[in-house]
Amino acid sequence: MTRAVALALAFASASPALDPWDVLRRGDPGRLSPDSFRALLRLWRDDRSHDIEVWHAGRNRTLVRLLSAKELGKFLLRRDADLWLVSPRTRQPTRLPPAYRLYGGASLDEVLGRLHFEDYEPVDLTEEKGPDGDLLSLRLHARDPGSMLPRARLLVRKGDFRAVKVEYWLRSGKPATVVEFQAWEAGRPRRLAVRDLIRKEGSVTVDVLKLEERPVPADLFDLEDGSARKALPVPLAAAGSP
Amino acid sequence: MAALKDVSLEVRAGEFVVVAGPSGCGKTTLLNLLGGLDEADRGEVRFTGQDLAACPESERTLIRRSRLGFVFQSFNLVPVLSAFENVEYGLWLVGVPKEERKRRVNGVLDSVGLGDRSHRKPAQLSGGERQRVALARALVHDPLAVLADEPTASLDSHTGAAIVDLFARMNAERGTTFLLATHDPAIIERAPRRVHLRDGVVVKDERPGPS
Amino acid sequence: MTLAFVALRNLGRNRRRTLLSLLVAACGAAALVLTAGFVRFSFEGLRDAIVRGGLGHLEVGPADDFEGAASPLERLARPPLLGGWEALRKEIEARPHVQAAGASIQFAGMASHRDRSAAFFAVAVEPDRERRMGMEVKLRGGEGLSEEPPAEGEDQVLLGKGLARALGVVPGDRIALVTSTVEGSLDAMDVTVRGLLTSGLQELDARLLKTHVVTAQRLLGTANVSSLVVGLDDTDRTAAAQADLLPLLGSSTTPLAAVDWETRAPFYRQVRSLYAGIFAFLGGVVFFLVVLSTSNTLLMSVLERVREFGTLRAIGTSRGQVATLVVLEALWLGLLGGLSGAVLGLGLATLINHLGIRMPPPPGAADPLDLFLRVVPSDLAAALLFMVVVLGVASLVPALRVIRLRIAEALAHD
Repeated sequence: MTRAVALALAFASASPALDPWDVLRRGDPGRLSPDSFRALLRLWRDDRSHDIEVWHAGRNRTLVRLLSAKELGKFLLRRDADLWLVSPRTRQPTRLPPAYRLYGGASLDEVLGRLHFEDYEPVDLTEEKGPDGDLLSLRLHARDPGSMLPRARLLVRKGDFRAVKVEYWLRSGKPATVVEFQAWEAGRPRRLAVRDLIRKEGSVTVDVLKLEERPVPADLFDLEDGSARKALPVPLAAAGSP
Repeated sequence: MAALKDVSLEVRAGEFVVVAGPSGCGKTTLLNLLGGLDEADRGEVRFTGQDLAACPESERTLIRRSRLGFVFQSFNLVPVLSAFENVEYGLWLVGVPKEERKRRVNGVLDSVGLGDRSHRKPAQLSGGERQRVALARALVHDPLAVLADEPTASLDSHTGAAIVDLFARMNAERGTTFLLATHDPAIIERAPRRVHLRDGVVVKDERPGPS
Repeated sequence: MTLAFVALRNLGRNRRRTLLSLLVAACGAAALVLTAGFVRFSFEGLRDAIVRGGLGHLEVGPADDFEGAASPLERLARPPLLGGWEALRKEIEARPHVQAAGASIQFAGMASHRDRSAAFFAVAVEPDRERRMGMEVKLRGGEGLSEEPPAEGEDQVLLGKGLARALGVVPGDRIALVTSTVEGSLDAMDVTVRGLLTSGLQELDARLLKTHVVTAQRLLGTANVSSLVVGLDDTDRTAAAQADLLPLLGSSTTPLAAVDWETRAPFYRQVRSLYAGIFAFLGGVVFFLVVLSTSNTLLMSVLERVREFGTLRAIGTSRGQVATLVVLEALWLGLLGGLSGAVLGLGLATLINHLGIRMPPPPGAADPLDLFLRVVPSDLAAALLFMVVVLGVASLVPALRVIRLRIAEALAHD
């Protein structure tokens, strides 16, 4: 109760009808994906594209299959907080740093969208004008004090709470990443651009070619037994991609 | 205290002059001034009309090298050079070529009676022989004058007399002017001209006649 | 008859004193000769360690790669950019005095074994060409890389001792390597640890990994290499070989450069400067010691001959000539002492070289070396000349003393 009162007093500058939590819940792009899905994504960087297939089951299980001809057979496997590289040339999966960036440009979280509703809490809500019309700017603090990106800002359209942009800052206050939502289809992001402000290596554009909500077999995430992964067929959309 | 006071002396070419006096009377100083080896505080030293005091040291060196010869009481030969080389040195200084040097050195050593000992070093010669070498060195370049300071003081009387005889012969044969400083009475009484010094003053300048 | 002749004769005046001065000069010259020989030995040992340790005499690669980044470690972040290298290599190996030109790739990544992982810096080479260039692999366990390119699935690596310890592996174990590909992606590969090696530097051994060029190309997903390392049959020909390659490199479409080993090993130049400084300091010490001991002797010799100098001046020797006489005596001492010292130094060096004394390895090398003092004619001549100069300097004060003599006083001197 005290918290609700404090938050209400703090957000005096915003329209009294808007609840920051509500804005977060409705505008969070991370909530737009189903809990369990399979997706085909195309990553663009420096005029080159790389196709990947994503199998996602809840928060803690994600499998990324690299579909480029040279990279077939390689997978990135996220289980809980760990990230693994599965390569045809290694018997065992190899652990990677969690901050590993796909093709040097975007982390898995950025490609898939963080679940801000669960990871962050709103601290400030203001209105501003943008090229897309009236916007709502929601400043967020990470719930986890040890988070690498403790500060964020979600910018959404006031009319339909569609996410325009998310910005992230490091603990030091240095800007880290910007994710811009450039195109939408059927209520979900169709294209987004990720800019790494720390390494300044340009941006990665992610096209969501296909997304289907479906159950994901648990054995795809088995670290010991890779047979289920090996049995996955190559998607037609990726056949012939570079 | 001045070594010499108001000394006026004229020596003509070819003369044989003995400067006599006791030790400390100024004989050596007089010879040093005459030979351009030292400089007077006052007065002139003219050699063949040239004022030595007015010459720079380098010019006095050249005069000594070519027109004067010196003989010293202790011979003052270079111990590491042979008799021949000691005499040759003086000719080398005036730039005489090697072959002519050889001829003239041998000639002058012969004339002083050391022709057969020219290869010996001073340490291998007697006192009298060394003084002969010194005389040969003083004469080899045909100087106008030879200045000898106590030339027989380190020799016995017999050898000393022989040396003075040699001086006299060279004076007669070559016409070289000789100026000897000595306190030896035997030499003084033989001199055709005697200049007596006492306490830096010429007390007597006599030409007693041939003896 | 010359002043030099008289000066030489004067040395025989006091034989004991002359011999002592000669001994001082000889010892000084011998010390310089031996030190020069040791310094040359050290430089050559270090140079060999650097060249045969993997740097080679020349490195040929894209000119941009060498811009502002001389050492291989600084170029780790750059992907291999030298394409068409087989043809270039063939041309280079056809040049005279070239032993071989080996492909080389530098890259970095992570190595893991069970639950341990560690970062590595890798150099990928062609072992057969390394052998032809006389390059040493300082093994500390296991075996070297096989000269045959490994087949797919049979890749091998050598690990630095520290890296192997960090991963908890021994020769025969399998580890996984992870690195970024040239596409920007990641790849991993299981490899066998064939052996352990050392670079001579503990810090480097904690990260060092060596493998075949073919393995690196597989892992990085490229047919390129980073550069070609060129080995010559004579290090002294490096500059000439570098100049010889310029027309070939200039004709390439991508600007290429050939960089010599000394540019790529600033450490060597630093060590050389340090040694040069030490040697100069030693030279200064020898200078002062010889000057101090001989100038006193020369002065004594002059003071004992005051009357003789007076006589020489009296009979027409100029001031300059008597001073020259004194200086010439000293120069003779320097010449004879220097010559004796040079011979003494050469003899001692020969003796020392036959003793088979083991010296600790120079920085970067791992094996001790037999001490072999390199005495060259120019060092002997320099030691001789140095002694002549030193004795000349030592004679200045006595010569000045002689110049200032008053003839009348000198003649009256005892």
